[in-house]
Amino acid sequence: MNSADERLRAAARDAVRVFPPDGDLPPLCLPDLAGGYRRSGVRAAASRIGRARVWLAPIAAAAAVALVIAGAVVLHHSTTGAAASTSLARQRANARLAAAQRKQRRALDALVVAAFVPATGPQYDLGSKLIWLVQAHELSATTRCMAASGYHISDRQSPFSLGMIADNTQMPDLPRIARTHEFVGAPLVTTGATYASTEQKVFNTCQARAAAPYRQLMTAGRTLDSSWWKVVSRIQGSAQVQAAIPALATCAARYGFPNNPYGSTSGPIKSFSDFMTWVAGFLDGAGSRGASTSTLQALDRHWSAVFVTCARPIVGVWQRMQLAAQPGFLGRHASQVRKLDELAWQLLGHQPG
Amino acid sequence: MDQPSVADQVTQLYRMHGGDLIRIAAVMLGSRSAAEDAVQDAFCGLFRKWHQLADPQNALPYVRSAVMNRCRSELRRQARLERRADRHHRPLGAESPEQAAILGEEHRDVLAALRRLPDRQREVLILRYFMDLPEPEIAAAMGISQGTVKSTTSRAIAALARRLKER
Repeated sequence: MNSADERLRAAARDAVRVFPPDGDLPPLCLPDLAGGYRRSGVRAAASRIGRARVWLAPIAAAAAVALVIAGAVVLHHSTTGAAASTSLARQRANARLAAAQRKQRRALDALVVAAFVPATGPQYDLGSKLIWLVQAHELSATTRCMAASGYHISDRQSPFSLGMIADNTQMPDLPRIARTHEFVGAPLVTTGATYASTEQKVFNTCQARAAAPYRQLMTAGRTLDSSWWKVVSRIQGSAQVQAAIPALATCAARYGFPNNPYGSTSGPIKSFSDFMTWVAGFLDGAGSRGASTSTLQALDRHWSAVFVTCARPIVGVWQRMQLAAQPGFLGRHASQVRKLDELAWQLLGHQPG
Repeated sequence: MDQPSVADQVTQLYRMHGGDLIRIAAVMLGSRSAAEDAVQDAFCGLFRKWHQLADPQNALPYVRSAVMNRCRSELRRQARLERRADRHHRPLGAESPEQAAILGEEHRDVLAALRRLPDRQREVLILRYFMDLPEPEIAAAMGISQGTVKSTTSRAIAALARRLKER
């Protein structure tokens, strides 16, 4: 067998065909600089309201999910109960139903924005619950389809876990980390269920069928998410955010930087990602050396507090900027957002969650 | 004689190095179109910040570093979406037809093993092997010291060999 070094060299030679030396370069489109700077006044004006909304977000997050799920149940009961009532009672029931529908619709719209255009960590966490709701619906449909073919699988969706989803590099939810003392640095490794080959075939067919109705929602969502993420990356690389890096580095130094559990220091903290990697290194390092659960919990508690303390100023800067940019972005992509709202309502709004 | 405009200088740099940068971005991202986007964004960033460069000679290291940063962001975005995907039934990191076409059949396991390395190890190997950069330029592109480039490369090769053996 060739050495890793030789195999890498061979792969690199092969990679020339990805872009041959005589290949046609796509045209380079340079930006109109005047247009690029025009929006700064709008952001500055909007950021005044952004500050208050950062702290309101967790409350709104919890309320929105509760409304989507509870609203769906209310709708279900209202629909079945109203039939036997008198005319006046029916009118009242219809009014209640319409009000519950409006409330549920608003909550679902908030979930859609949080899922695909999140401006803060709490919004990002909230948005993850939309994806979780979709998965729950898909799993339920898959289970029914499998049962029709004589196979039984559990329709119990695993509990919602932010540990699988949290993004501490670009969308850290500092209030949650401070509250739970869990840093959640690395994604957990998951294993898929395995079935005998015939059952697996049925499962694949059922699963594809169950996912089909949600595909349009997820694809449209990802397109919007991709555009929004460019805005987020631009903000997080901006001069205002970069100006907060020295304070982040000073804070890290107070907690021992450049002490590094992996034994090699990679240089000064030049980005938020460097800081995140350094903090996560303590947990990953201990985890890979087989530290006990209680040791890992103690490390998590300590380093989550360090992370929140040092990250708060810089995250505050970019969250304010992202909150200021969010309404403009939603306005510019209003038709895409409306389409997502409609799809989410059709798929998730009319049935108990 | 007139000085070439910033747009001309950036376009010239793109003509000379755009192809190489698209190639390494494609290896990192597993997609030619995503690679073209990353390189396009990096050159737009260079165009915006040209006046902040102390020396135009620094433009190439700057744009290389910008491409690496954009690839990192894109990979984080992909990882985020994968983490959000159905964790019970959909295989994570499944190879798309476009990803499969980045390298020939016999090299795909190398690419797959490369993708599973930690960010820094993967980047150092891609810059060294796929772009043939010397250590000082790798250090400049990644914003780390030459010593760290050396130690990371040796750890990365060892990790890659282990992963290739595991397959």
